[in-house]
Amino acid sequence: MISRMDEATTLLVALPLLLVLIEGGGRVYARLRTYLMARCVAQISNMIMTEEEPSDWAMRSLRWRYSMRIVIDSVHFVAEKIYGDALYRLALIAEVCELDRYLLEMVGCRQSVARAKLYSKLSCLPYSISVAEFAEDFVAECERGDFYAMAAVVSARPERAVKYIGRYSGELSLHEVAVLVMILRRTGTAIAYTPLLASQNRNLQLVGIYLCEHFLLADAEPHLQRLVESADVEVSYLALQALCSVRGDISTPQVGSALSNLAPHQRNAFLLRAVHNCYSLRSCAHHLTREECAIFSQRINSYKSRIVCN
Amino acid sequence: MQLIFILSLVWLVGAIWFVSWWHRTYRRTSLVHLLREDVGHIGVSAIVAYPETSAPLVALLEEEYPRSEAIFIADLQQQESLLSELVVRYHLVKVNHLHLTGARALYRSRRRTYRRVVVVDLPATHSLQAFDVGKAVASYDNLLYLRGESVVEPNALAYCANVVASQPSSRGLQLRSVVGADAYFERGDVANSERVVRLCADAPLAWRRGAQIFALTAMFLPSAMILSGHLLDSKIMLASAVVLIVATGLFLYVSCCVVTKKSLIARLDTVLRNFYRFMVERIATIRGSRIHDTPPCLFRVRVRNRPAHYREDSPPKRSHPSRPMP
Repeated sequence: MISRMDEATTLLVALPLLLVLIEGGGRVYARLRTYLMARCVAQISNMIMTEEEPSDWAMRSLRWRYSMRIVIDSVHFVAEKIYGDALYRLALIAEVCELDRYLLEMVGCRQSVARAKLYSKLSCLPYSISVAEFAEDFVAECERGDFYAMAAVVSARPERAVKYIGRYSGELSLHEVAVLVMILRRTGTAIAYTPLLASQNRNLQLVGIYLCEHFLLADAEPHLQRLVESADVEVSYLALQALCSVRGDISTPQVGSALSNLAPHQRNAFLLRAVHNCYSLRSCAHHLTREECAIFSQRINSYKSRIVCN
Repeated sequence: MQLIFILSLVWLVGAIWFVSWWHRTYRRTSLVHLLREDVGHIGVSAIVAYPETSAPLVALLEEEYPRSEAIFIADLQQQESLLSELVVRYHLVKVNHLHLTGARALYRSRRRTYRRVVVVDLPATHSLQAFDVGKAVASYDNLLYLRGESVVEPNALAYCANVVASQPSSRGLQLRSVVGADAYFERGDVANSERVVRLCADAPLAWRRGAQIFALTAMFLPSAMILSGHLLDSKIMLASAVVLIVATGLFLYVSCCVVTKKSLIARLDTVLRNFYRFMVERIATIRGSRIHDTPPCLFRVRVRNRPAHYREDSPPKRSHPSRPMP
């Protein structure tokens, strides 16, 4: 009996101890990582802000002072906060530290989600020469539908973005389009929206619609009216939303037929968007049901539309 | 004894199911790149039902995502000090609330910087009714539901908007986190739509200060079973204890995968709460009833007793005689 009691007591003591050890270890690791990353970010920021270009030795010292993961995360952190010429200095740091080459080597060893995450990190690096050199190797992968492979390639060679997006075999989501537009904006690439909207490729159409909505391009209304009739419900819905955002004409029969194909929650979202953009009930009443008209007028008469529109 | 063993087995199967669901959806959501800017003009309305203090509202207003809105629902007739605090801090004014069923008053801020704030005075009932009122007030069709003192995590609304944008718009969407308070995010009418994507967030959406009773129970129960199993020489008891320890280990694995500064006990507590919710919802789904027929907050249904003098048709009290409400 006594030996069993001893075993039970040992187990009872061991369990909380194990928990405390796991917790303590996790906390120490997290603190150490935060501290090192803060130091690394400060060092990179100093290198960027100094007037003279930092020496290769100073940049390379990041590699042996910190682990590669911390340097990559720090560069990623800084890259999100800066723009313009500072990005070129950061690209130089990434090149001297060979972050892109390291990531490319790791990509070869990983599969599935881990691989996609590495591609995501590659796409966040400022202009990367190594990725540009090997870009064509990843085109096959991006043609298979790996979005982040395509994002990495677009980030490395933004001047060929339209070509890469056109060759992408998967269907882009709105978030993926937003990521691509963010990459293009960060790299300072100018893209004409009209050829994108006139294209037959769904992904290019989505990028065009996103650009129109993001920059409120009212000139694109005829193209958007055409895309509202698209057989692809996703394209049609996003074109409808963009049309609302640019305050285009929503009383047309194209809009009516597009609305009839939408799910109830999509129609509801459209109504809310129309109220936000200060449309009157008369502008789209003939497309709506009686209940929807009541909801629409109630929304317009509430204080909300006055807050948003004024 | 056999009943305990069978229950333990059911629990273990549920735990494996839960962790596999978490792992499957975590892989999808962890790839979502967090964009803090406006993603395709997608807006998110956060509804807080019956908090005790203004802390949840303050946390929501600190969110950077530009298209977001905070809807604060409380029984302000009972919490006059809270109302006065909100009026002073946000310069609230009364606006038309006739389209809201059951609401006593609707307030908005006079200050342009706080125009995303909506305060609803609603008699204390179940939080489901408060959510219905919140839905009627919301400017956006993407809703984040929070209860009580749940404080939203930084960038949670931006994260929700990014997840919404990453899914096809034709389907309903439900997003939850395994670790953290029982906050959940919805797009569309999830209860009535056939095609719904149920995802798990890779980071907590909100946190709530709690007693962490579930975690303590989870640690105490296997210990007690081991002790009694040894004393009574019962192998079934020992096997059940092992099963419980394995399930706890799985939860620990889940909670440790999520990077957060909260303590392990707090994380374990919220994981267990969310696990119980998951199990109840799955059982309800197997029985054929809809998920929303079950109360979303099983362990914290707070219905305050109305005072005897309160009547539905009574006008709301004016808490600030010196500051007349228009």
